Amino acid sequence: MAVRLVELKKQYVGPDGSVVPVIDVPRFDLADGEQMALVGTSGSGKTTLLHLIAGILTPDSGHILFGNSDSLKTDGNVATASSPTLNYRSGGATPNGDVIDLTRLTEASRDVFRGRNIGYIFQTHHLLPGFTAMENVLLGMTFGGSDHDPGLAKRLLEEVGLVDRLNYKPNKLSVGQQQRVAIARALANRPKLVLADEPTGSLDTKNAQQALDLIRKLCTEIGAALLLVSHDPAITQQMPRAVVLAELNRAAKAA
Amino acid sequence: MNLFQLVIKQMRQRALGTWLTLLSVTLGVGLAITILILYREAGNLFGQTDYGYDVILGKPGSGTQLVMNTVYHIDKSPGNIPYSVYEEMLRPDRMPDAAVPVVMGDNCKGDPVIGTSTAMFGINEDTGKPLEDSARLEYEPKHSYEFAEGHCFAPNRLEAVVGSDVAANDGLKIGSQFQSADCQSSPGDAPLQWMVVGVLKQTLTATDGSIFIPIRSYFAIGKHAALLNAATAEPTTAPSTEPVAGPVAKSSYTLNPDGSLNLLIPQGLWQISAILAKTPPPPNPRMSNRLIEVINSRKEAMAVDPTAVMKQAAPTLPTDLGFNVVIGKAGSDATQLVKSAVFHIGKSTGMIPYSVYEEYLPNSMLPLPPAPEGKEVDESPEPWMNFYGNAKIAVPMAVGDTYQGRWRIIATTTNMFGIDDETQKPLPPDETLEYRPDKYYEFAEGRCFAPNRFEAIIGSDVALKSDLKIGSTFNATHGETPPTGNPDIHPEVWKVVGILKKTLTSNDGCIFIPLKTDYTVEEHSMGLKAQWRLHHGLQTDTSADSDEIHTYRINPDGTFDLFVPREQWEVSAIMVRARGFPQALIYSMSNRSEAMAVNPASVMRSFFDTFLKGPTLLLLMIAFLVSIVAAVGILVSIYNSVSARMREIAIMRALGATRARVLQLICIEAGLVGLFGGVIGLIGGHLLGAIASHLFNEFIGQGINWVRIDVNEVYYLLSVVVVALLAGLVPAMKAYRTPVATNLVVV
Repeated sequence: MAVRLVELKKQYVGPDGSVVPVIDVPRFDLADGEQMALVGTSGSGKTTLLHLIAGILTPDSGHILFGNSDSLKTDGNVATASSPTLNYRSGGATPNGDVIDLTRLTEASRDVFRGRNIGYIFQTHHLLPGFTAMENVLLGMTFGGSDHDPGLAKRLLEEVGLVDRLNYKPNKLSVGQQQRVAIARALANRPKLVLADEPTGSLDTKNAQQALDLIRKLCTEIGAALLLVSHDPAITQQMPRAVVLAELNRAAKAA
Repeated sequence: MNLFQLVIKQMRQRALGTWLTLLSVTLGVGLAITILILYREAGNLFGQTDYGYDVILGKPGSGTQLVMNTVYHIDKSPGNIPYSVYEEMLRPDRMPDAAVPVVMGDNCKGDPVIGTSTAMFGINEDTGKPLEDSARLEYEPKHSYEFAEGHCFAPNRLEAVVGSDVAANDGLKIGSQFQSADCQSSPGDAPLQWMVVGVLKQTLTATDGSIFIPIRSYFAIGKHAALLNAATAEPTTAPSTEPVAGPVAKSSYTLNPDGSLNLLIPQGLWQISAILAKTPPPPNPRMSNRLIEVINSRKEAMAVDPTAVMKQAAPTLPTDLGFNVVIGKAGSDATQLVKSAVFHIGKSTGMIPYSVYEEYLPNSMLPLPPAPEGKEVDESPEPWMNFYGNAKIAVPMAVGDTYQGRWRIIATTTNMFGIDDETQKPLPPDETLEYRPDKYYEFAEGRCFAPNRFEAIIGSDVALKSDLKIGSTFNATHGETPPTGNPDIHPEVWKVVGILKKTLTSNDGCIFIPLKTDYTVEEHSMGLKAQWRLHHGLQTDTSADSDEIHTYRINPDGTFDLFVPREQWEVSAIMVRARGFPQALIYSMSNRSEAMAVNPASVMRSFFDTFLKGPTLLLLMIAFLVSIVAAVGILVSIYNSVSARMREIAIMRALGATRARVLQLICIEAGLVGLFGGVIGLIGGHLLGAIASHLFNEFIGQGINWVRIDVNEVYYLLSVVVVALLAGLVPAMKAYRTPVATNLVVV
């Protein structure tokens, strides 16, 4: 799945009433299956940008378009971008040639769209503490609307090397293991786009490398595009393409 | 992983909070359920007797009068209705399961003469063939009339069917002939004469004292014929059973050579007193009876449900006790009488002459009560009095002594235990006293005492908790509790010969001795004599008499002879099972000075209404408040848990859960707490009910049905779940509004 951002703007109102622009991206493209690193320091708006792409936040203006590289090829198709009302019970539409403008979807439809198409990896794992590794992965399926598939969940945990920790709760796992469970969970729905927000930020070098390799490997396996945000050059250097966020985001540039 | 698994998982995650919330719901529901059970059972002690037919149609007026007259032959007939109403009942679209016309007003030697159709006895009047079982009239559920001898009358012959008591007491046998009391006065006609062709088996209802004749022959009676004609001439005047001056039919019938009757009055003029009908049960017990509705929408007839009418007339008919009247000393406190005689609590209200009991020996006839003041004695005594002021079962009891001041001694006859006191033969089941419906006293060990031996039977609790066993002997202590100083112990010695099975009534804590042995006790016999003298206006005991200490003699074979004459005997109470409704019996006792009769259920009911209803209502309100508090508990508990789980909720949202899904999760959690707590509370409430039942048993000898779950409890449970869901809605809205992005931020 390819992503295109057009004139995307988001600003916050500070406690003193001042308006703080956070995101101002005139144009951004991520191609089908492309793996890209966004390089940025904290405060450059990277988490906000990922939240916007995931539909967790809504932009003040602009468009977030999903489609395939072909359908997004034509420049200026913003106006024609369809915005079907996604029926979240039946799972909503996955863009197959159609272009979907996330900003025109209802919140519930955005939630469903996210559950079905986007895998999100947080800086801290954000595992649910009451659930085992296995159950956390299954939860990704539950809310993603896909079939309850313990076989797949187990396979994913096997991939991340935790097959002997299936029934461990997060607090019994090391930080590296926790992040690997989170990676498995993000991929449980076979997403078409994986957003990773500093996935290695809380890990030591060895674990960080392991996590990065896993994310890249799994994304390649299922053909998902990967947008990875990191400030760590050791990580970003390994990515096929790295974009400096500050150059992309006029708001960060201004700051 | 589905939603429920998810919710249960989350509840287990914070097990303590969940358990505490559950506990508060359980306590609230349990308390409320217990109170609901108590409230229901207190009201349920008093059920309802049943009839084999459920509708009586008659002339509009007093429903009670109609039922009294038609079923019990008490009271005057409210009047007649056109025969056409009955014919209408036979129409296929109206057809109740069974419908039988009755017309009454005559009597023969005091026995009511009732004109009816052969359908009364299960025979189709047109075809002469037996009716199907479903179309047969039952006088009590599952009991149809049967012939002891002979057969049913033919609809057009001067034949008659008589009840068992008529056959036994009035000399009307198969082949006997009789005339109706009214028919003599019919001018122009020879007096009608009926021949008895059938005798009914005993039914223990009013029918036993009745004579049935074909309805046509009833109309043929000169007076009736005149009446029918008059009613037509003056349709606005309500026909009455009194003769009306009017055109007298010259001849209302002819007799054919073969003896059959030819009624000359056209069917359109026929009138009947009432119709007994049985309708198919309504699909829903709360639905009103369609037939009753239809009939009551019209002018010429009314229809009532006899059960409902009697319930209204006597709202407290008993079924929970195996007997329905307690007779005790006149002027005593009814509650005290019932408590003492039935529940063995408190002091006896005093003694009544044994002769009262003798009157009530089953199937003996009771003399009419004296007429109320200012009214003349009815010239033609209403036959129902003889019949209905009568007992099916009567058991006397004398109380006052105890064993060791703790166990009550009840002097009674072997009738109490299903053995005829006179003949010592087993009584048929329907004449045996039941302590509860269908529950008879049974022996766990040993046997019944002999009426003329110093033998005793002990209740199960006595056997368990006292030192008495089979073969033990004991003395009786005078009075309820031993007086200060030395207890007054009678010298007579009884030997235990039987132990009763547990009855779960206060009888378990009693000792039963033969009535006569009670009179052997010197103090008792002296008292009896004094009382008797007092009653008969004799001087108080002389010293010469008091020297006479030998009130009895024990024979070599162990039996004894009692020297206290029977007319001096007294009993504390008599437990009676009246035929049909006990009201007649109670009424018949109302003018007597030496005894009174009460309905134990109605007494206990009014006791309940007076003393218990208020507190129970208060408890019900408390239970309601407790339920509300429990609901608030759910709200607070889940609200806190939601506050603590904001990040988790945000994660779920990030994983694709919609707001609605999050709302569902929280509401399901609240609903589950309500449901689990409710169900556990329901079980707990019933267990509390069991404890209450046990306590009731200890104190009043009467348990309650704590097992039954009635529809109110189900409604209550549902409302608990709904309230829980509503309580969950508040935190659910908080979760619903949780912003995802801010709660995902790592603090």
